[in-house]
Amino acid sequence: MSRIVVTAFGKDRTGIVASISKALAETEANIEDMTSSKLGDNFVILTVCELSNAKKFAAVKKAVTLAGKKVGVNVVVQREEIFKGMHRI
Amino acid sequence: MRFATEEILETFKMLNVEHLEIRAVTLGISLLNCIGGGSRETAAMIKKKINNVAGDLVKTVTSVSDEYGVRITNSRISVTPASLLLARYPNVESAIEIGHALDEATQEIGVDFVGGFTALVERGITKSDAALMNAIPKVLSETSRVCSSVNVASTRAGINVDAINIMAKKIKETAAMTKNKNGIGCANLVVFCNAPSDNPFMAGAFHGVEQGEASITVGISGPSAIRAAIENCSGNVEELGGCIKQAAFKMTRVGELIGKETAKRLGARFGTVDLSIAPTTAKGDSIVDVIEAMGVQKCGSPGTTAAMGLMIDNIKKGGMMACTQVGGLSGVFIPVSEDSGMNARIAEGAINMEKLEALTSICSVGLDMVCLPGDTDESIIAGLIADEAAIGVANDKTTAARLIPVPGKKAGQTVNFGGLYGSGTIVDVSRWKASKFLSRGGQISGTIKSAKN
Repeated sequence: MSRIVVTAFGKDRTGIVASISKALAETEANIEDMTSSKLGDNFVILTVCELSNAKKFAAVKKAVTLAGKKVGVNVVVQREEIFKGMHRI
Repeated sequence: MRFATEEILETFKMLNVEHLEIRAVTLGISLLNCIGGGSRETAAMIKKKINNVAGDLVKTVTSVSDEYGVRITNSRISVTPASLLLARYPNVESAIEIGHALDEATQEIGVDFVGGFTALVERGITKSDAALMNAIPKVLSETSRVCSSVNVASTRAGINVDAINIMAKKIKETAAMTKNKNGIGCANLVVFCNAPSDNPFMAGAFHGVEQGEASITVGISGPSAIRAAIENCSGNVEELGGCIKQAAFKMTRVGELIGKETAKRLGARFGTVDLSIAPTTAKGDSIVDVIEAMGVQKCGSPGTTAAMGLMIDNIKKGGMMACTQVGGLSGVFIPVSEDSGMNARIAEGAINMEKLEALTSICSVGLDMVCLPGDTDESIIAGLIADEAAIGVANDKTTAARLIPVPGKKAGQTVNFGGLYGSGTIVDVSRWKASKFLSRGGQISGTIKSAKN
């Protein structure tokens, strides 16, 4: 199993969560945890997903980045290990 | 949430706002099994092996970078010290042929630098070491990717003064042979004391004979990430050290993760993470900004050495806890032309040659990318190298000299090398020489620290 963290951020508007979630669903990335908040004028979504297949990383990244673009937010997709490494001993 | 929102945002900020990046992923390759009956055969086998082992390096590093969201600035290769490959044909022509083979092989795999046109002569000079040293000016003037290093001193062996005299001459010759490019050949030439065999950074990288068949070493970076940690700390120097330590821990963890993953995908051994904080010419990526954020008015003023010492110590302490294998140079680089802040402080007189030398007693390397007047006498260059070697031997640390006597330039003028090399102010250097002392030749023995067995 392989987990990824999707960080989406940009100016708040309707449909950001829907757009990102749809792209994740369509690429079989199962959302395990999701949080969203407003930081000033910006809207931030942090999502932890499990991939059905580790090799799907590129496809998920492409789909969710494109989905973000459509609703005007930047999306960063990273493997979970980078966060484990930096924040867990 | 598996991770706190703050943790994810902190990682995002370090990677995207504070420019935390991996400066170099370097694949070290043993070329010992490439030694053939003649230099032509050896050159052909070198090209084949580099292609076989490192052909996928760039592609692999790109995909690791993409998947973890970590910028990796440079993919490089280092090889077995080339003088060892010349043992059966110790002549300059063969050394030049090997130099060209390294350059061509590196170009073919899309990598910008290869380190290892190297000789280790701290105790004595073999015929093949001499051939390599004599070939350095021609190789560096005819290639663009080959990096050369010569180790002239160590804590155990002491200082090979004969080798220093030869290398001072070779630096001048290299500058003369690349005078149409401001002596740029010298930017790829490092004269070392206590050279590490697992250093990922150019121009001093080589793959030591004890490092196995192939290994990945990683150099972390991010002066601005360290600066951000400092700017968020208003406490005393102990608390300041703690903030640097925490940032270094996180940065090193990133380096280890990237190194292990790259090594796994390439089928190489994971070597070490080099904890060096390496500046670049980019705005905000200077070591000067870090020192001045600590409260030093101008980098170079009294207090700078102490501030840098505090930073280096805490980077090492944070990094050592974060990583199983720490190696290379591990400290702070203070290159002049490659760090626009350092160069600015040189230009305005806040840092001079003597202060640079003082900083080399604690920094990760030594007099690095220091531009000298073009007419600087060979014996003065030899004196600068000898002083660096003495600091390294006495402190049991790596020191080095990467000096560029820029043809036609005088102290205070500037020279623009372009790209990664940046632009440098010509540093004034003493006109008094130690030529009578150094021309005595011979070996300065190792200090009492060498008898620690």
